[in-house]
Amino acid sequence: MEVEDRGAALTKHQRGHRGTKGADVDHLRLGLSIDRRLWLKVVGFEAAGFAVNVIVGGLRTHEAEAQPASTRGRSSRSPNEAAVVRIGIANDAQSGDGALTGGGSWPVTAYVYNSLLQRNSKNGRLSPCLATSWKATDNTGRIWDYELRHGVKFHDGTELTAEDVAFTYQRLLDPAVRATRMADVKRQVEKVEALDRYKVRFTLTKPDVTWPSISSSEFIVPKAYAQRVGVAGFAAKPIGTGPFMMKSRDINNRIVYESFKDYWGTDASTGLPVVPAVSGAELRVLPESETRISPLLAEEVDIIVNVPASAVKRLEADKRVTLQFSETGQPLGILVNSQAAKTPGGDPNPYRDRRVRQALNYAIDIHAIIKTSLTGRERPSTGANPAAIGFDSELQAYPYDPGKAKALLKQAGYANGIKEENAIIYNPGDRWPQSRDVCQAIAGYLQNVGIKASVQDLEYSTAAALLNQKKLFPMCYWGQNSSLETILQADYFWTNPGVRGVYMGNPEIDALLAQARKTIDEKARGKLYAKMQRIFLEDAGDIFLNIALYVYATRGAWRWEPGTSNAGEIPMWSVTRGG
Amino acid sequence: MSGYLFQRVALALLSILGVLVVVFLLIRVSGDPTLLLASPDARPEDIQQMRASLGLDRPLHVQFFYYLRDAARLDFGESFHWREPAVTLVLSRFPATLKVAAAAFLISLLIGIPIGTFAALKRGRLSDTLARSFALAGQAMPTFWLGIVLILLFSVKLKWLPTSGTGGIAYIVLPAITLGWFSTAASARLLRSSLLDVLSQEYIVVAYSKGLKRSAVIVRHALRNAWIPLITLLGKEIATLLSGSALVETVFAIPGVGQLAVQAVFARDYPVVQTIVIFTSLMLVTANLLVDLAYGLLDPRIRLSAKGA
Repeated sequence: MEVEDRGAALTKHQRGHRGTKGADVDHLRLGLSIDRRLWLKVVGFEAAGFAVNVIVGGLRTHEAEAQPASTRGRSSRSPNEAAVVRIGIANDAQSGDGALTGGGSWPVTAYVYNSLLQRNSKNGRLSPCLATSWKATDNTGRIWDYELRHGVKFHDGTELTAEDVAFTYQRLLDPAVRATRMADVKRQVEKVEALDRYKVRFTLTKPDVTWPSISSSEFIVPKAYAQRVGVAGFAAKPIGTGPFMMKSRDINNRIVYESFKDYWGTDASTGLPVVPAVSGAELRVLPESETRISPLLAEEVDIIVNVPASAVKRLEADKRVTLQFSETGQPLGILVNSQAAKTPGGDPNPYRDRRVRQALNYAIDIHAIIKTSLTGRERPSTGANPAAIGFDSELQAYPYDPGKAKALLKQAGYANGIKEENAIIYNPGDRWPQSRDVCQAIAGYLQNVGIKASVQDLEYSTAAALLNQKKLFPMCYWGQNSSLETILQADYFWTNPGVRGVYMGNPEIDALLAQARKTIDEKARGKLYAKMQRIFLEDAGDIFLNIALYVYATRGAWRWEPGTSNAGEIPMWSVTRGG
Repeated sequence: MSGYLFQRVALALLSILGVLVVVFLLIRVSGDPTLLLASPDARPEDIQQMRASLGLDRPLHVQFFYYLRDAARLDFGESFHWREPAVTLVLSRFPATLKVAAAAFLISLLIGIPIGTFAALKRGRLSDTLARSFALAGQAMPTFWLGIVLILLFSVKLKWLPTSGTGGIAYIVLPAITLGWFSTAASARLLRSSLLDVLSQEYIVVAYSKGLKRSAVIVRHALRNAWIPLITLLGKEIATLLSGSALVETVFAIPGVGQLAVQAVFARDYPVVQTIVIFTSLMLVTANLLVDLAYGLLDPRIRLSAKGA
C-alpha cells in the first residue's frame, strides 16, 4: 500500500547548526507540545543518565581494570581481522523471501537480491542493474524489452538468464506464494517472455510509460532453485544475485550475511565494478530507538539507522559517533479534505475554498517546525520528490505570513476562524518521525489565525483504513508518494484514478496526468509533471511540510557513503573500515 | 483431596472457555478486520473476497463453532504479517520470554524470601529498615526506567553485560533483574508482614516453650504458615511477570512473546494477538490452579472446607 514508497534520494541539504536562539525556541516548543510519553522519555532518560553518572563516578576508578577482561571481544577488534559490519536496524523483514516483503523489510532483503533496474544512489534516477538497457518497442508503452547483463551469478553459482526473470514474475502471480504485489502485478502485467537467453519482453495489460520505474522494485530469483526448494524452503534460505548471501536469520533478532565473492556489482554512481570491502554483515533488530542507541554506545553495533531527531543533539555531542543524514525524497504533509461537500456535522466544507487551504499554508512556519521538532536539516517540501522526473526546483515553499493567512480566511468568509470539530488534525501513530510533535506545532500555528485546531492520535493502520473509508475529516498527517514519476500514483489526491480521490481533486491536474501517462519521452513527461507540481502547490492541495530525512549514526573507524535511495538501507559497496 | 482437585480443574477449564468466548467476541466487536487488513488500494471485490476467505461472511454462531473446533486443534490461523501459522510463531517466541520470566521469578524467590524473613526477624533494627527501603525502591521504580539505568550502567559505561538481544546467560541478567525487582520487593514485604503476624501467635510461644531451637521454630512452624499468603502472591506474580515482559522485551530488544504482542497489536495481526491472549491465559489459569492445589497441600482447612461445600 506504499503511498510513500522507497523513494529516491538525494542532495544533502544542510542547514548549519542551531544558535542559542534556536535552543530557546526549542524549550518553548517543548513546553507547548509536550505529551505524556515524551515527558516520560525525557525525564526517564535524563534521570537515568544522572543516576548513572553519580554511581559511575564512584565506580570509574575500577573501570580501567575491569574492562579488558569483561568486554569479551565485543568492543575492540584489530583492523586486520576480517571486517564484519554490525548494523542496528528497526524492523526485521516479514520474510526472507523478497516477494513477501513490504517497504519496511527493505533493509533486510535488499542485500540479497537485485532488481532489473535500480535507483542511482547519488541522484535517484533509474539506472541499469541486472538489465543493461530497456525500451518500449510499440510506441505506446505497452510492450517493453529488457536486455540482461551477461555473466551475472546467483549465490548458488548458476547464471542469470531471461528464464529466471520470466519465472520471477510468474512466481509473483502464483497464489501459493502470496506475494505482496500479486494484485498489482496481475493488474499491470499480461505476460513475461524470454525472447532469448538475455532478452525479456513484458507485455502489459495497458500502456504504462512508468513501467521502468515499477520494474525497479521486483527482486529477481533463480528459477531452478526456487522450484526445487518450494515456497517455504525459499523463505528459509533465499538466494539472489545481490552482494550478500543470507547465512542465518533468527527472526526479529539477528540476520547474518556473508559477502558474495562472485558478485557482479557495479557502483551505481560510477559504473565501476564493486566488491564489498567487508567480509560480511550482521543486522541486529532493535525496534526501540533508545534500545538502538545503547548498543551503539556500548560498541555492540557499528552503525544504527533511523536515529530519532530527539537524540540527534545528544549524539552530535559524542565524539565517538558520526551522524549522517540522508533524504528519502518522500514529501511529508497534512492532507486536507477539499472533496467532501459538507463536514461530518453538516456545515459547508470550508476547505473546498482554495483561499482557506492557502491560509493553512501561510499560517505555519515550516522553518521553525524543522528547527524545533525535527533535526533542523530537513528542507521544506514543494509537493514532490526532489529527485523526481521534471521536479521544479524553482518553486518556493509557502512563506510564514499569519497576516496574509488571516486576510485570506476573511476573504473566504471565515473571519471568525473555523470551529474545533472542523479543524482536527489526525496523526497516524509513530509511522513518520516526530509526526506528533509536528502536528502539535501546526495546531498551535493554526490557532494563532483563529482555526481551532487540535490533534488526535490514531494507530497507523487504523488511520490508513479510516483514510481509505473517507472518515478522517478534515486533516491527516501523511507521507506522500515519493515516486520518481512525481505524484502520479498519488491516489490519495487525484479524482482521476478513481480509487480514493478523497482529499484533493483538480480537473487541470487530472488532464495533465492522463496526458503524462501517454507520454513516453521522459523530458516531455517531466514538463507535464512540473506543471502538475506547480498547480498542486498553488492550489494548496496539502499543508506542505518537509522532505523526509533519515539519520544514521556510525561509530569507530567505519565509513560509508549515505545518499541511499531507500530508507534504512546502507549501501554496502561503500562501507569501509579505517585502521 | 480428589473432590477439591476435581472442583479446581473444572473451574480452570471453565475459565479457559470464558477466555475463548471473550476473545472471539472482542475481535468481532472491534470492527471488521478486513477493512484494516486490506491495503488502501484494495477494491471492494478484493475486500469481499478477503472476508469470505477469513470466514467472516458466515453467521456468528457458525463462526463460533468453527472457532472452537480450530481452537481445539490449536489452529488459530496464519499471521497476517509474518505469513506463518500463529501457533508456530507464538510458540517459537515463548522460550525467550520464559527464560527471562523464570530467571526473574527465581530472583524474586531467592532474594525476596531471605530478605523478608531477615527483615521480620530483625524487626525495627537498621537492617530491617534497609531491607524495607530496598523493597520500597523496587516497587517504586518504573520498569522501563530501571531497565535504561541498568543498560547505561552495566552495558554502556562498565561494558560488563550486553545491552540487548538474546544469546547466553549474560543476555538474561539485566532483563531478569529489571523484571524481577518489583516481584522481589513484593514478596519480601508480604513475607515480612505475614511472618511478623505468625510470630506473635500462641503456637509459636508453645513451640519455644517445648524447648525447640529458634531455627526449628522459624523454619518448621512460622515460615510454613507465613507462606500461604506468599504463594497467593506468587501466583499473581506470574501474571505480572508475563505482562511485564512486553515492556522489558521492548527495552532489551528480546524477540519474545511480549515484543511479538506489541508488534502484532500495532500491525492488527489478529490471529497472533488472539493466540497470545489464549496462550497467556492458559498459563495463568494453570498457575492459579497450581496455587490452589498448593494451598490444599499446605493448609488442610482449605481442602476440607471444599469437601464440605
